[in-house]
Amino acid sequence: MNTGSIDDTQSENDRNDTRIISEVLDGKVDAFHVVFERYGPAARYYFWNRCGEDRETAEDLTQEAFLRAYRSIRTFQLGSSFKKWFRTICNHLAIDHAKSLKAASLQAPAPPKAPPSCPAQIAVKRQIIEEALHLLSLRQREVFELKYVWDSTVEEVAQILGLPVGTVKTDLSQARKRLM
Amino acid sequence: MNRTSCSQTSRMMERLLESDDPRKLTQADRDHIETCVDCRTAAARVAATEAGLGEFVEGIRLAESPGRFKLPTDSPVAMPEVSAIPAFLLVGAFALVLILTVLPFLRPARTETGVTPISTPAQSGSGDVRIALGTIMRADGWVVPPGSPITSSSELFRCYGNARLQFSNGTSISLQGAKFQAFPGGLVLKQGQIEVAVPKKGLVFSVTTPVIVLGIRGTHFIVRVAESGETAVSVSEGEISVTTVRNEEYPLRAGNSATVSAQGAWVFGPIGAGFPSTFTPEIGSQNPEVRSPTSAPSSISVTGIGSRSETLLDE
Repeated sequence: MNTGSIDDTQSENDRNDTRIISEVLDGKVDAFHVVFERYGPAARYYFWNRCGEDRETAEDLTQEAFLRAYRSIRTFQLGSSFKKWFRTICNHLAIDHAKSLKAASLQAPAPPKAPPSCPAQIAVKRQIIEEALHLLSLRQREVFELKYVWDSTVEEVAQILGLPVGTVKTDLSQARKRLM
Repeated sequence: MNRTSCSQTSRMMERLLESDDPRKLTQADRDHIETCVDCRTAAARVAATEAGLGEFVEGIRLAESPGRFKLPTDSPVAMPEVSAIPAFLLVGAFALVLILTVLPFLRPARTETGVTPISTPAQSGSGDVRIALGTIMRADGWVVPPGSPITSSSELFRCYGNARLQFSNGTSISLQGAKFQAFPGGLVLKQGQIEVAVPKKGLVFSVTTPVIVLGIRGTHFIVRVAESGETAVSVSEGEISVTTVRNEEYPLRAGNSATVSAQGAWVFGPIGAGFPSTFTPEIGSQNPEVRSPTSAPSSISVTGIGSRSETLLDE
């Protein structure tokens, strides 16, 4: 089905993303809502974690990230990973935001509190896992987050973070052991 | 036979914990845990952890769903490629263009001199982008005089010498030997040099070149695009955000310059000596029927912003 070598190495998620972005580039801009639905929660979790702040800030940054992605969509190379591209946008945005705050305390943010909109049982489970995640190294947390929250395969995580697959596997194993 | 201590447990655990889905056991694992309590317990523990993480992710999806995303109206995807437009829209668009644009211009084109005295601009556009100064020519050779709106965002224009565009949002762009498309929310620069002044912060404006997209945050900067697509950016005031074709985004602040190669490689620092600093617009090479009331010369050297001469390299 796929003709190019790039497509052959793409994951199913990447192929779906590429199809959607193609539609957006073809003028069916409403298709962008699909990627928003797909990556919106992951992006908001990302900002909520990175910026260690209130939920409104995470929401604002999420909207801004998608706005940037939408406005820059022409620079996205079809066939590459949208997830990686979009996460880079999120990363730059988080850095910009951190710089704008100029708060040294951001270096070691306190464990974020479970969101109030979460049903209690889920919130408690989430709180437990969040606490455990803060015992991991930053890289291990990134690996974990990409694997679970961004729904990536081990190979995708390695590609996004520029790490060897073996390193990602080790980090993932460490993270899971912490949570067992 | 149940065993209390199995040499395979730790290896299996390690393998499962490193895998994409620790709940997926191989046939050999399944066969083994039938008889090994240790391994069965370990596999169950891993599976339970994974199930808990699944709930964790579901919780995040539930709690972190952002509010509705509003698509901006001035998006860079507002210019769909012709091939992507359904046939009936193409027919409609063609009819509209024929009625509003082509027919009025055909009449003066048939004058004895062959000169195209376009005194009235095309009426189809919003008029959000106007030529404030200089000579700008459409790709088909028609000259659009100063004061005229550039009405079709998907149309390629060229300027000869210096020209200036005025956008309704207050942004002004000085052009030198530029090939470009203009639309209310920004400009696509194919080649040449532009100097952009965005009047205030928060204003939405973008400049796209073959290798980058510039997000503008109320500022003043220069962009040069060479034949290859290689792009140089120099910011004199404010801050811009540069996203390359490699999907990398860089901020560029006042006093900073950078060059992005045709392959998208980012080089921060002064624009190199190797970057073309002279732009000479070719006239007639691609448009043999160029007709201009201003009699544009066949080759023009123009003084650049600052004091340099710029040459537009032909495509």
